[in-house]
Amino acid sequence: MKFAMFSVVAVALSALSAPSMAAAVPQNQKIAVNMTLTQMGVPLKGSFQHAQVSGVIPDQGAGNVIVTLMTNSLGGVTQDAIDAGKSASWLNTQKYPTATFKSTSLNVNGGKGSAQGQLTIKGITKPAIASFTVQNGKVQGQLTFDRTQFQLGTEEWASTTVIAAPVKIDFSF
Amino acid sequence: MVRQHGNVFKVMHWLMALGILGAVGTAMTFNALGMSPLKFQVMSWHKWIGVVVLLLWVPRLIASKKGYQAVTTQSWEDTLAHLVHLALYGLMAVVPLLGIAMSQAKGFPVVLFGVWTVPVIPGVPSSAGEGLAEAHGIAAWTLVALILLHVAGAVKRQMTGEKVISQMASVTRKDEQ
Repeated sequence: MKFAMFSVVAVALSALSAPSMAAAVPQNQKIAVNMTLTQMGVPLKGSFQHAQVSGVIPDQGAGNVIVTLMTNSLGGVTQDAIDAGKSASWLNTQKYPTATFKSTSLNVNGGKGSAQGQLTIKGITKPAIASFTVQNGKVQGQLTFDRTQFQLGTEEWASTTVIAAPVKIDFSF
Repeated sequence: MVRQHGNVFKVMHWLMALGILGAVGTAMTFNALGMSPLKFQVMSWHKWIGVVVLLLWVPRLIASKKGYQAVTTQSWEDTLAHLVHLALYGLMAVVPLLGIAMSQAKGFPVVLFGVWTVPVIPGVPSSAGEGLAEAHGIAAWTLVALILLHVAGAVKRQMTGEKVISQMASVTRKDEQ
């Protein structure tokens, strides 16, 4: 009886400490990408309808990932904001139709992962780090970068007093 | 001795006047501007002014109760002035509330001074954004029209000897209250 009680507790504990996880092995899989800028404390949200992810995101250990998004697929709250986002000052979608993230080092430990890599926007490549969770083959995470490093928002938009420098990206697939 | 409004009432009155003038000015400015950081900035100022006016509304109402001047004569002009006052008080709260609801429905939270996020007005669907924008505009222009009427009435009283503008623009001494 004592032994039976113990085993019930042990099973319950192991279920708590090891949630069911599975690796994600996307091949040109659609990835949801949302973007948030901040305007004087007000979040301005946008999203990219066409973005793909490939790679191996294990439930434990090393992997790799590459994300490609079509800059022209930017959607947002208002049409004038979308038009401004696609313009030469911002994404310059005509000249730079894609933005990419390629991992150089990706590690997952206990369902939580981080990916160091190269972020390329407007033809400018800078190091960036994404953090994410893996659960049941589903990946969810975020990455923050400084828009001024990628010349996102030039000329009158360059000042960060109205539109702040940090851009937050949320993704899931 | 004519009984006068108290100083708190007078300060609130002119603060409100300044706020409404600022809100109208910023609205006309950002409506005329194309997509630019300046437009965003002026729009934020407009929203901040609106929230401040709304926050001042309750103390304003209390001050107006305290400083209420009993009407001695009851001409049609007195009745009109009274109705205009009631409408002004109502619209001072309705206009910013409609603006906040509109902004929230369109997906833009209102963040006072870039720091304090104004609570979401419950039960407003995102589809209501355009309708609320229209209502906000109509209510605001009604407020402007009533303010002009209010000013016209005050100017008339000033010129016919009641000196209401001089009184509102001067400090009330103890013996005048």
